[in-house]
Amino acid sequence: MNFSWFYKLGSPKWFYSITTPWIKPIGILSLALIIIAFVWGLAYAPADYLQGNSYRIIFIHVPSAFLAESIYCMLAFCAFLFFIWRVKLTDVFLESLAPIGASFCLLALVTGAIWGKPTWGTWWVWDARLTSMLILLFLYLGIIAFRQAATSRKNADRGCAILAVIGAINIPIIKFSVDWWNTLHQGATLKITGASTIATEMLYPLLLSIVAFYLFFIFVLLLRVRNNLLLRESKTKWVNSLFIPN
Amino acid sequence: MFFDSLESMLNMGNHGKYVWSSYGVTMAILLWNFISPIIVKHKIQQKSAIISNKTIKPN
Repeated sequence: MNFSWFYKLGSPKWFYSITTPWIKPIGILSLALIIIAFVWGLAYAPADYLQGNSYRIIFIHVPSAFLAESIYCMLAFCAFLFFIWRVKLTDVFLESLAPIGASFCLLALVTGAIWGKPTWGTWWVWDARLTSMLILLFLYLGIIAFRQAATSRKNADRGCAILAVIGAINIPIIKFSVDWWNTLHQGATLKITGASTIATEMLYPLLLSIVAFYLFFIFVLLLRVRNNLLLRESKTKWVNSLFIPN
Repeated sequence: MFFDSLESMLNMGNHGKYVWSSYGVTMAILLWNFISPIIVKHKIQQKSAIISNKTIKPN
C-alpha cells in the first residue's frame, strides 16, 4: 500500500502553500461568528431563573474550557505522531499549540473564577474540576518553559513531546472529575448522547460560540504554524523564494 | 432584545461588573492570540527583506 500521500501531509512547503488561500476567509468568518455569538449571548438570550445575567459568562467560559482540553489532546496526538512516524510537521504543531492552549486554559480559569463569585460566593475552591484545570495550565506552562530552556531545537521538540504525552492523563481526570468526586463545579451541560440540560434559547448561542472559538483557534494556529515553518525552514530555497523582491 | 435600555444591559441586574470584565479579559486574550503571530511574521519579513537586499546587489 502506498503511503506517500501520508508523508506529503508532513511536507512544510506543501502545508504552507495549501494553507495560504484559507487564512483570510477563516479569520474573517471566525471574527463574524464571534461577534454574532457574543451579541446573541449578551443581548438576546434570556436571563437564567437562578443565576440571573451572570450566567452569560457561559458563552466564553465553556468554549474556552473545551478548547483548552482539545488543544492538549492535539498536543498529545502530535507528540505520538512525532515519536512513532517522525512526521515532519508534528514538531511545528507541538511548538505552535502550547501557547494557544495555555491562553485558553487561563481564560477558562479566569472567567470561571469571575463567574464563581456571584454564583458560589467565592473566586476559587480546590475542587476536582478547578484543580485539574489549574494543573492543565501548569502543564502548558511547563511545555512552553521547557522549550525556552532547551539547548537545541531537537531537544526542545523531544522534551516537549514527552511532557505532552505524560500530561495527557490529566484530560480524562478533568472530564470525569465532576462525576468521580463531589465537586462544587456543576456536571456536564452539553451531552453528546442524551438531551442537554440547558434551554434552547441559551443552547444555540452557546453552540455558535463554541464553533466561533474553534474556528478562531484554527485561524491563529495556522498563523503560528506558518511562522514557525518559515523560521525552521529559513535556509531552504522555497522560503527564500517567498521573500525575493520583484 | 432582552434588555430594555443600554443602562440595564450594562448593569445586568448587578452582575454587570462580572460579565463585562469576563468579556474584557476574553477580548484581550483573543487579541493577543491574533496580534502576537502577526508581529512575528512582520519581523520575519523584515529580516528576510534585509537578507534579500544584501544577497541581490547591483553591479
